[in-house]
Amino acid sequence: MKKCQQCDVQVNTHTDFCPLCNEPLIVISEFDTPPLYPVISEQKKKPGKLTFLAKVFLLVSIFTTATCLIVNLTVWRGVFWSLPVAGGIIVLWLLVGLPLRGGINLNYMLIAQMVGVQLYLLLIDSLFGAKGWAITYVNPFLYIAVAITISLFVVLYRVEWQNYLFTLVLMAAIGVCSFLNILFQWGRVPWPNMLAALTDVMIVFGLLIFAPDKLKKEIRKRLHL
Amino acid sequence: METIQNKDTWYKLDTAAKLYPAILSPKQASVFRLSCILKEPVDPEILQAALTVTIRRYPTFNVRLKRGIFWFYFETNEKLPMIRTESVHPCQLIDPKENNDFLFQVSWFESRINLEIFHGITDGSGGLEFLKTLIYYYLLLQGKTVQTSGMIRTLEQTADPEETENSFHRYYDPHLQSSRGEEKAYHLSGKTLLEHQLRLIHGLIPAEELVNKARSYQATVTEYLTAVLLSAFFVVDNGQSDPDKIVKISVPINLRNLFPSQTLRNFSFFVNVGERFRNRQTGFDILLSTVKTQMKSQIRKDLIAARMNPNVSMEKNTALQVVPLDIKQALIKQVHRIVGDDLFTCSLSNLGVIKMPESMAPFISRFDFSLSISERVPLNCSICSSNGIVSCTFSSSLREASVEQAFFRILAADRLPITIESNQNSGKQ
Repeated sequence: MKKCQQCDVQVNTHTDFCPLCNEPLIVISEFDTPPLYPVISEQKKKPGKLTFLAKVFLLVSIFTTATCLIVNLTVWRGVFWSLPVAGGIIVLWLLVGLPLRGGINLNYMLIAQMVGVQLYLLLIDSLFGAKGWAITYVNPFLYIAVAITISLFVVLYRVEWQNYLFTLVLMAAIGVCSFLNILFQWGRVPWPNMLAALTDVMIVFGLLIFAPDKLKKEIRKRLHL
Repeated sequence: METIQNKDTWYKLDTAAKLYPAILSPKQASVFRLSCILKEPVDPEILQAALTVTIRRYPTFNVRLKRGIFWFYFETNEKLPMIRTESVHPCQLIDPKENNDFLFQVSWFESRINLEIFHGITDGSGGLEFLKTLIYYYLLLQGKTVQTSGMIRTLEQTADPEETENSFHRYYDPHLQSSRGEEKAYHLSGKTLLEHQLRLIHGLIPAEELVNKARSYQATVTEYLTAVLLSAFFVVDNGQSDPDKIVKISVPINLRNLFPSQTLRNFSFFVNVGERFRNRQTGFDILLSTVKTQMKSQIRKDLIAARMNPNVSMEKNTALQVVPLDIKQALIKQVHRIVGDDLFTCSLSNLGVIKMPESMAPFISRFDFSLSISERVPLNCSICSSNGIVSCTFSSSLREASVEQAFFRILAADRLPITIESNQNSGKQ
């Protein structure tokens, strides 16, 4: 036990200076107090290489996008080719950046990537000839692939299945686009979108048949009803 | 052993808890720590076993925070909470990803058991109930002969459904509302420690002597210590600040004492007690009298209800309910800045006397209670009393301990014996 004469308090800490005024302490009893708190390592977390690399890539992305935009506008040849470059960079971030960042729900990541890629391909299609290949073939098949992947998660990862359940609800909502494609005849041939619409119907009925109560509870939770 | 919680169980955040996810950051962890210092070194294996039992009794602790479309919510966490050795500074942000998704953590060092809790799941009273159960099972599993004496919640007794209720809703009266507008308070500033550091200074005072001292002024311990804390701010400022600025101490109130409730979730409010720098030299007796008057005039059931009801009204507002979560979070953050941290200089939270069964008392040295800090409020004071010792803890992110120094010097000058302990193990700063 020690004493600080300036503060007139006893001090029971492994230090030679008063925690209050920083003045030297006087020893008043040789009884050795066990340490009260651990010595905390003060090493600051060094930013990972990935963080640094991510910053470099972010700067490169901005530079590339800006340069392409300036060149595109300065030497205008009737095509907005800098848009697919910018879109491509965004899609690259979605496909590579999101998984590397971590911490995001796998299903939401898949949906974000799917929507990103679909929009990007629609953009390219519309800029270069508007032949409708994206809306006719790529988008519906991409939708089917993601829906099947998430459905497999629901079956395989039962422990966390509530998370996937809500993702399926989101997929069912996105699947409405296929019906709109068929209804307004946006695609060149209807069958790929019919397959996607069928997948959507299967998801909806699958949810209603296999997990009606769970589904209701999950929706109540998410919407705070 | 029966599991008392259905895995599909989920909870809306209580009225007070809705604030915390919005303001959460490493600089505002909204975490408090309750520590129990035992008389023997902690056995980590038994502590883990005790925690595994205890969590089954407290369904509102056995949760993880999830994002909904409009609000956050808690859902049952099917993982197990794991104890850890104390290896970081107190009251840091709890990262659920590193904590099996739990919003509280139990750590140990030598003979001390720490329970750190994110304020979103409970307040000091709820946290204390959990810690008491944890200590009970720890001692029981150690083979000690201990009884609950009706003071500890165990798995043997049926949990009261009221324990999980949002008591703010139970006592909500839409017709009783008052404005929360208040004058902004003075804020302490200075050179700070590193971001992840927090200095704790505990001042240990014999309970009997402190109670007698407060009584000699016809005041309660909280009123007396609040006046001492205001005096400490005046000493530190030494006439530097604008005389019109006001130092305000935020004193949390356990609403369970005013509105009967068994809830283990947040059910506390606060009153702000203050004095202007202009009146710094009026003398301690007059300052204490001002504190007593302000506290008595504010701690009235009807006035407290009128101040807490607007929070529930906002929560129930249909237009606000359908605002997407992220926008709502941004709004709450701004509102908190206006009616939160700006309005007080420092908190003084007194948990009161922690009563333990007689059979458990011989194994316990004392309890400590610590609060986290924020960027605007870099110093907080928390108090609890156990085994005849009042532990008065200052948590601070400031390099200088000038307020703490002035506070304990005032008490020492008032002839109270004080023993200081700190988490600063090193020498001179």
